[in-house]
Amino acid sequence: MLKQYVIFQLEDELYGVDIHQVMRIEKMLPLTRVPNAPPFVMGVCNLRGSVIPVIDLKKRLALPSRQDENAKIIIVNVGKQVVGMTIDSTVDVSSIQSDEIEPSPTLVTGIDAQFIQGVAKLSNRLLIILDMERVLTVDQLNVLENMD
Amino acid sequence: MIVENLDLNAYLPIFIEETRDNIQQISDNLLRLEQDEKDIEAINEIFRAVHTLKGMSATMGYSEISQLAHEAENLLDEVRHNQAHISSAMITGFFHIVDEFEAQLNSLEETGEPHKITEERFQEILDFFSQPQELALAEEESYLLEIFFGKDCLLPQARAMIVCNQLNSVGKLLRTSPAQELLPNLDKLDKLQCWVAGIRPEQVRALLDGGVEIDYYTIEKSGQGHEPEATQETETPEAVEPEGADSSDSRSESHVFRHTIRVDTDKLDQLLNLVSELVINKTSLQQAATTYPLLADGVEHLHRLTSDLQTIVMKMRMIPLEAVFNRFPRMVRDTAMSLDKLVNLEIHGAETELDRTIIDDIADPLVHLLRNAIDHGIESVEQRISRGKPRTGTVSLRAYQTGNQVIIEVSDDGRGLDLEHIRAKSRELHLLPGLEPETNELANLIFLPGFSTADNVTDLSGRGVGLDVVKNSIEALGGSIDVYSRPNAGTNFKISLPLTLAIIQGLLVKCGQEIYVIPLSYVEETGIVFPGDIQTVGQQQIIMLRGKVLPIIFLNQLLKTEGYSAPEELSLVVVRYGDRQIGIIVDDLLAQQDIVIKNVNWGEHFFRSFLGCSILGDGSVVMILDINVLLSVVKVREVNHA
Repeated sequence: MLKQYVIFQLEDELYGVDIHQVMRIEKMLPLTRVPNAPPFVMGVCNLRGSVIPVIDLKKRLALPSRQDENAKIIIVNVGKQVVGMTIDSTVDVSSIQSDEIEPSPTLVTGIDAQFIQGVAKLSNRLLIILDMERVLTVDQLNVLENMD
Repeated sequence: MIVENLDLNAYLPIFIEETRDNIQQISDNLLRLEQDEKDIEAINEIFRAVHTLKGMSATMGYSEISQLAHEAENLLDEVRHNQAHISSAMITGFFHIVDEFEAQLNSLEETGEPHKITEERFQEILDFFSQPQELALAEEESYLLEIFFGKDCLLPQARAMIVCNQLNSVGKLLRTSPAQELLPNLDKLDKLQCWVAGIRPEQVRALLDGGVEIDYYTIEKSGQGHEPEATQETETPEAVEPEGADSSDSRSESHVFRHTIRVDTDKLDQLLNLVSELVINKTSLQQAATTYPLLADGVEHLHRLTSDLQTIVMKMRMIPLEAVFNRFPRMVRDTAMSLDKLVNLEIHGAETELDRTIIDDIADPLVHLLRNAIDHGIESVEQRISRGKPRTGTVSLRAYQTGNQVIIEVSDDGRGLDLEHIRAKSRELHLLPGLEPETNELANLIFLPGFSTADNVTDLSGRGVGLDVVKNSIEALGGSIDVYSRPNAGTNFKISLPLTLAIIQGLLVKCGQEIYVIPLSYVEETGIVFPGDIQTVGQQQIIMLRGKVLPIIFLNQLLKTEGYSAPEELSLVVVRYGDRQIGIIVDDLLAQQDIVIKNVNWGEHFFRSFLGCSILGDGSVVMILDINVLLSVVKVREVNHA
């Protein structure tokens, strides 16, 4: 089965998100800080009249965080939850055969395996396909620890 | 057939809604009947509701429901005609029917199909009614049954024979006219009169309805004259009227024409969203008008229009608390019965209105408090007598509006909280700082999560189970809860709720470079403070306000504002949370304005300290502080560190 993915870059790696989960890609928007939220919650922004939370995807994936000037926000909708995530830049939309995706990433990718749905080869580069539900599921216990 | 099914599906939501209304009617009147078993009006009301329910469920093709309603209707009919008497077993039986109706509705709502009633369940329900039925039989009354066959009816003679045989198999057929022996030889037959005994009217109806094809029939006690209209029943459902003149009178009463329509709540929500957008735009125009005076008049007019519009939309969303309170009399009755206590529920102010979204979420906490009051508050009858109290305990539910808040009080005249045990327990859990707490502060400890697991407190003092849950759900609605208690006199829970959650009046305050909103409903007063006014007592910072000590807290500390430096002149916002006052120190007060609350639908636990967000006229997002939660977090921390 052929599936389409939105491909973007975080530092030097390529990441992909199922196109059905992506609502739009925005330039960086003015953010309002949410006090007492964990560090990866960057804040909230006004997206055409609705308020959506924005998370720092690098911090969420425990990657070294460095703000890129060209940073963009990718707005995803996962199970009716609309969240913005910061990315360095978008590359493209690509179609990938599902059998080209390796289900279990045994390779060292630098990020926690629970966030990875699979990996694929994309013009000789490694593409990490993210499991958005996992990325957006935050254990409440961890959050409470963060608050104190 | 398919078309028919589609049509019925379209009616399902209406059916469910109306049937719920009818069930509520039945339930309410059963409780009335329990108080006064001679309350004819209540019986009639139940009859009407059951009758409507039967008709509607039959139309929808839910035979199980209509069959159940049919049984109930028959029984009520006997009561109405003094052939049976209301007994407590009968009322319980009716409540079982009500429960079954509800179960059916829930199943319809969830799966679109009614669930099957088992034979045993059906019999179980019917058994409640067996007693009065025997009474009716014992009187050995005879009835005159007149059966009319239509002109187009084929072989009326054969049908008449079948009816006679059936009647004979159930009861005693005394006599017929024309005589039974003559039937097979008659040329034409349009009316058959049967005198029967040892059979109840509803058994006759059960035989005739849906049995052999006849035009219509009448049944009446024999020897009462021959006018059929006294007890007329025809086969066409539309024409089935409850008997007697009294019912037609009260029927017109209850069918007062109301100028209302039902509107899908989604549409109301959409309307509210649009109005909210309008309010935001209005605010930005108001800002523009300060720079361009030409706009001022138009903007002022717009302001008035939007606030009128806003008021109307808010009112449309308001529903009376009755919608929630309705179910409580039944619940209180059942809980009291199961605990073998005598409890009278008093309800005041059920007409008080609240926003729909709040109504939906207030039911569970109230159920919890009422159960607690009956289970732990009200004493057993013996205990009450020995304490010189009336045998029947009173639990009261009182709702009223003050300003833009609605207060709901749940109180009982039971034993009150056992403060000594709370004191002991809180010492054990190290919940209290060194100071000796006031009585009320002590009582309010029962809302702390630690108390919910403290088993011996719940056993002895009787309170505390899940009260933290109650408190949380009320705070999630932007409300607060307090408890007042006097030993042996009772306990009173006081819940304050905002009228609405959608648009509130807010105070915009500045803290460092950030702007926050404090809901005006929390604010008691504002003022100016200089750093020199602030004193420290123990670990608590305070100021003197008109000779009284006011504890204060810096907003920047609560919110961990980075790179904050306090200005020389500070602003003070005195807020009330629960029963306490506290001063919040901010840099500056900016404005007071309408705030449209927008919720974020992800990571709600990150937003715990906030009622929500809002968008200002310039498009920026601000956070709305939930003073209750914010300050209770501080409180708990202070307590834990002590």
